[in-house]
Amino acid sequence: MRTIKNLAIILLVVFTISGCNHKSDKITIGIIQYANQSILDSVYSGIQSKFKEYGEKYKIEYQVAHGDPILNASISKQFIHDSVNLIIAMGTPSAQAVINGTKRIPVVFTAITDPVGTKLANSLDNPGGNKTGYTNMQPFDKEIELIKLIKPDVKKVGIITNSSESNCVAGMVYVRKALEEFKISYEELDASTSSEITACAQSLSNKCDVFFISPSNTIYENLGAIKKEAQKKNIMIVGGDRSAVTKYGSIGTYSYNFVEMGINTAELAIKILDQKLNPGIIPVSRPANTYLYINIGAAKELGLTIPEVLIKNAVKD
Amino acid sequence: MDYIGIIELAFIFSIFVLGMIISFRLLGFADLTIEGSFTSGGAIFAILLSNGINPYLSFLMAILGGGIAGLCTASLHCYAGINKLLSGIITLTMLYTVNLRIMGRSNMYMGNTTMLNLFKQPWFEFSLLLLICLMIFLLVKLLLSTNIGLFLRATGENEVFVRNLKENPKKFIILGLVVSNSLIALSGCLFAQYVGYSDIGIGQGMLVSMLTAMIIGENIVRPSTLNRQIISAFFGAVVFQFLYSLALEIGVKPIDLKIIIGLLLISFLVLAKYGNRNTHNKNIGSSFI
Repeated sequence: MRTIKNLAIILLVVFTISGCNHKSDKITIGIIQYANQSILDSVYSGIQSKFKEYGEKYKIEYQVAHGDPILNASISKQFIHDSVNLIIAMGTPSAQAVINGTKRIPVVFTAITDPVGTKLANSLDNPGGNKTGYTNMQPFDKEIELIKLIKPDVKKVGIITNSSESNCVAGMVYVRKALEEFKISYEELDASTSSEITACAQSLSNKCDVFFISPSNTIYENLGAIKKEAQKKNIMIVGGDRSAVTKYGSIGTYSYNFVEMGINTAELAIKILDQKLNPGIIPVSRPANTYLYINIGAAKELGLTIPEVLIKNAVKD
Repeated sequence: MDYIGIIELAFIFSIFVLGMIISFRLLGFADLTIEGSFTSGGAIFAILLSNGINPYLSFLMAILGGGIAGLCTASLHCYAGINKLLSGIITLTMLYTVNLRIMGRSNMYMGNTTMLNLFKQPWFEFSLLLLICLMIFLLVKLLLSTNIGLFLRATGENEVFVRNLKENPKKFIILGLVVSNSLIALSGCLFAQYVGYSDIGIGQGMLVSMLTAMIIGENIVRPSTLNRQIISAFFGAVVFQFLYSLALEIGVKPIDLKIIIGLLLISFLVLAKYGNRNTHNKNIGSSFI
């Protein structure tokens, strides 16, 4: 009985605290982020900087689910219950939970690799319902083209994938298509956890002379292991994000500026709120600019020369 | 604060906790399969639904899928003679591939056509979850009150005793794990419908979260009888979910959430220990956790 009494007291205190919320008449924007991952964090910093320009006009409610499905559900329910004016969702599961929960509050999703495949949008041109947003599907065709330009005599490209990540599965469709268009042979190995990546890299390094970094978070987190195996056998690494080029020996990649993508997302959200637009008829867009990053040092180590055109187009750090 | 949402999620998780009570408490079987069968429930439902199968039939198939996972673990333990913990881990590992194969991808959005939003009114979701939850609790209560249920409980307490009564304890371990994993798959299936997507990572960390819920529940409702043990599942899930939402509401950073849950768990355990020092009511079931 005493425990029940104690519990009653705890609950009473807690209910009183939670009752003391003040509703303000500012425009509230709920931002839900599925996990702290470098791309999503950059996008958020972009969103934040844009909303800061408006000073006190917008109130930002920012929550991170840390990859926890219960937390993800609780946060999205909370936003919908609080009737925020607009929800920005980063990460596919968060976007899905929000869109499933509300047909009324406008939703802007961002940094979603495959909005159509994950049924967040009916099509890129006409997402339908109460949602639209930005996709970050990388320009894979251009990245594969880099292989041909820098190493025309490529024998085989090795790719470590993670079939448990929908981003990776969706992206690989485009990667395979590009590889087949350029008539480059390739081999894929699947690693679902960090611990399997080294083994896969070792196995691939015996057969391949180029590594392509697939769009998987697990792979991005373990680029160090891949770099180590590649250096042993003088293998060229291509693709990945910007940090793959600057830190992990990738010879080059095309990438978006994710802070810029965050700013675009915030602008889209503000446009929807100001002009009372129907998000369902606004096409899902890619960031306007792609940036080429090149690591000349890594090329020299492998004895390769990078064509002048590429060096001219690349972003100078 | 969204109290309706909290109760709805608590309905879903209380079924999970109930399944866990059967394996962890009544059978004394630390069954790690449950994280996998939770995901399976959602995965099977999502894939069947997207292939145009009736939602109620898909729902039953999802429950069945969980049952098969439980059967697998129980068989590994009973017939292959593998250690309890290990047989759970083996099934859990294999379920990862199975779940990916079932869905054919790692994430699947279900859209509008689930059981929970067959009717668009907000009361429908709540009343359906309430109804399912009540039915499940009643069924489990009825099952555990039959002779078979008594034997199941006896198996967890003392296998030798069951053998002396000329019954095979393996039978009851299998039954227990099948029921437990079916309930957890049911809970996973409802959760996937509730959030609108099924994801390969949906079961990750559920074991610890729901163990917390189970222990919170047992410290609110002292489980001295079977009825109290069953009811504790619901209260545990409600308080657990409430704490989650409360922490968000008062602005606790989600990153700090787990340590708060841990501290609360400690305070509940300590409270229970010293609050009831003088009473001698023994809780039913195995107390290895």
